Amino acid sequence: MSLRRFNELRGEEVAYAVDRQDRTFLPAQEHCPLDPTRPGGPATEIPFPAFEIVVFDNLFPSFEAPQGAAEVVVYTDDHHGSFAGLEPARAQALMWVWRQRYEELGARPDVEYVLIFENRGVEVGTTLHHPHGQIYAFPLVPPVAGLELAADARLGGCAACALLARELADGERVIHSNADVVAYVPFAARWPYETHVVMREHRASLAECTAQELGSLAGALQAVTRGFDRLFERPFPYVMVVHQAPTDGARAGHLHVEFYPPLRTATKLKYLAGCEQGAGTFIMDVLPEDSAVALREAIAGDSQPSRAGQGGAL
Amino acid sequence: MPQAPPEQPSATPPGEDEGERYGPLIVRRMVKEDGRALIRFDRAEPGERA
Repeated sequence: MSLRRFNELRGEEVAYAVDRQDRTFLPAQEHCPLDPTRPGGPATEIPFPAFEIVVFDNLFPSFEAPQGAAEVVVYTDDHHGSFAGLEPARAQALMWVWRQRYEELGARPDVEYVLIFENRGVEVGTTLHHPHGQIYAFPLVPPVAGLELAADARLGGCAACALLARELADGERVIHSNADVVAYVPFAARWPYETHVVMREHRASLAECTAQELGSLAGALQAVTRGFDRLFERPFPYVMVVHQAPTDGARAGHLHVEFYPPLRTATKLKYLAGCEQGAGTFIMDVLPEDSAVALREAIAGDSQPSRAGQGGAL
Repeated sequence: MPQAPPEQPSATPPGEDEGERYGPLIVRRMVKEDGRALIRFDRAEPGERA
């Protein structure tokens, strides 16, 4: 059961999903609900002995019909895998899964925005180690999407296109690119290693991408996340969010993926403290240009063996 | 990073539909015992398990 209240002082909705208080919390592998159901073993959320990618309704939904939806996306039946470590073909398949869910959920009359994301690591609140992401189908356009639409209006066109052009012209913060996708630390990053992975061509959503572009996106996301793991030679926690056009049919967007990693060193976290929460202004300890140098080197070292590829140990 | 192959090929369990094609994927749906929906995505081409 979920409900919403409008916070007048901040001008934003707050979702209450009190059933989530009792959700499964960091179970041992033998009790992982995202593992396959093996013959003779305990039943899990997934009633198959093996699978490639599975999506199911979240047992503890933050949104649910007729006012949205909450789904779990399980990337693999390998409990110890990670998005970075998926075989490229599976990562490409995941892009198609995201696209299918965006289209199907976005077509529902009660859904105005489809948020695809992954919380990786206990530092960002993951409650299950098994590699997975989530999808929230919102019955409203949430504030961050609204800010992006406002940026479009402020810049007189697609903000993501304009910012990508600036980053490419500058080049100092670009950390990876391929034929269809560019990854960079944004000029005004709010996290030490914040990274945006942006389609070169204007694509409002995954639904507008070609098969090649989806493959390029998967490749870039894996290059970045492997670089993250290499940066401090440890599984690198992050929040990964797919930004796309709202699905209310009235507004535009530019497909890109943003990473918000909480680490500022191998052992220290960036906290949202007084200034960030009380004033809404982020104070950063590192310049984006310096972060970009470190990440570029980490990604370039991808051909070398890494000790940090397995995300399940977080 | 290479991953171990699945223990056995995915089988169609009771209650799962025949599936439909979506891009390179086969999309199969079922309703779990508690009423929640589950969708299984597999690569369509034999031998190309993702």
